[in-house]
Amino acid sequence: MAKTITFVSGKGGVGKTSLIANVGVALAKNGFKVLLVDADVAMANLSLLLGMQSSPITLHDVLLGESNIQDAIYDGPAGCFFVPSGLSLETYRRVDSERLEAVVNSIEERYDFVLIDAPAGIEKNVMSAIAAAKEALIITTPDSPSLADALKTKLVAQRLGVNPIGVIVNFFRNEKGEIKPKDISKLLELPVFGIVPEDPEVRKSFMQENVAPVILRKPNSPASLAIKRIAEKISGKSMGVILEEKKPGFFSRLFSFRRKK
Amino acid sequence: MGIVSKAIGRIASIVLDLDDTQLPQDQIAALNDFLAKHKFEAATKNLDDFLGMLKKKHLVDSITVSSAGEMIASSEGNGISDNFSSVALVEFVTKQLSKPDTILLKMPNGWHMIFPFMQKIYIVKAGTNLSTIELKALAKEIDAFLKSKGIKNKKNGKIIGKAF
Repeated sequence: MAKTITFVSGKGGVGKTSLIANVGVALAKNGFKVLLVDADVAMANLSLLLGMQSSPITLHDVLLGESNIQDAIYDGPAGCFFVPSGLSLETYRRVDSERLEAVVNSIEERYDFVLIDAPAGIEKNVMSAIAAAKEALIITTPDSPSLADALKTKLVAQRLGVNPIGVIVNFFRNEKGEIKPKDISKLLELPVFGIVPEDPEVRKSFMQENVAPVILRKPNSPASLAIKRIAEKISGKSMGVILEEKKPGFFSRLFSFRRKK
Repeated sequence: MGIVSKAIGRIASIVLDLDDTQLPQDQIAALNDFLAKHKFEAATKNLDDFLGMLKKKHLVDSITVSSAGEMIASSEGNGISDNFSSVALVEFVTKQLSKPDTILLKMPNGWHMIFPFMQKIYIVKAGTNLSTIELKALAKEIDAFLKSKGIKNKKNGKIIGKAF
């Protein structure tokens, strides 16, 4: 049976959609069968980040009961699978997001991982996305507004009987005024699943003619390495990140040379 | 070149104290206070305490549970009348329309929600209406608790709590 995890943040703009796309691709590249579900029925972005905005059948059609989920699953980058949400405002008004749990239940056993991208906020559509999974990963940036929303989101997940398994701190710059990951962990009472540094390559990856997640475009950028570590933690399978990280830098090599002499 | 300019930039920012950010301690304290008010211990074995905890956790005013037309748990004293009217309403809607997921009634003082689930009827009152997902989560928690109580009170042949 698949591990179903909803990526949720409360606050918008914390990089949740970009993270889920990259984690999904990292898992797929390592041989896992991954399904990404864009559950943001109002503001669908994941399909844009994956360069798959022209899908004829979407989650909207499935939640309206007009299409089968099987017809809304597309081949995504690096071998992952993808269910896009619709861009139409008309169908959005008629969509019953509460059907998402049943939809996910009907297909989860075919995958190793089903990763669900939840909308921002704590309204009904968000609750539907959270309740569709067994576990939730809370995404936050290291500032108090984002953390306050993450806190509320965690409480909502617990209220819905979904297990919050950890927190990912995104856009970390290590500035004095940032709330440190260990303090975020303490406040949310959740383990830190990953710290993703602010990396201009993430933004640049979506400013290309052929849009691709940063993990494909710049696999050794700081954000990509952090995302691979998150994928390692989710899957329990090593993806060689430690080796890449331990590659000695210029000064390390210089001093080791002096030590050898 | 990249490494050198990065290192120089880092040293310069420390020497010139360019990072003028500060940790917002008051805001963090406020978040801690918020969290302290939202701790829900489900470890209790007492039905009244459990329903009281659920009321706070799910932000509702009252919870009544009915099985086969009989009230089996209520967080309030007026559960019996709620039970009768709600069971009758579910029967009426089922007969006239079809089996409902939820019946939501907007009353002058808030919402009256009736949720049939696992051979029981859950009657919930709150200031705002809960989604079916929220009602289901609430019902699942109560169901699990009642089952554990049922096992404990098996000798008596039925579930017994202080609120009955």
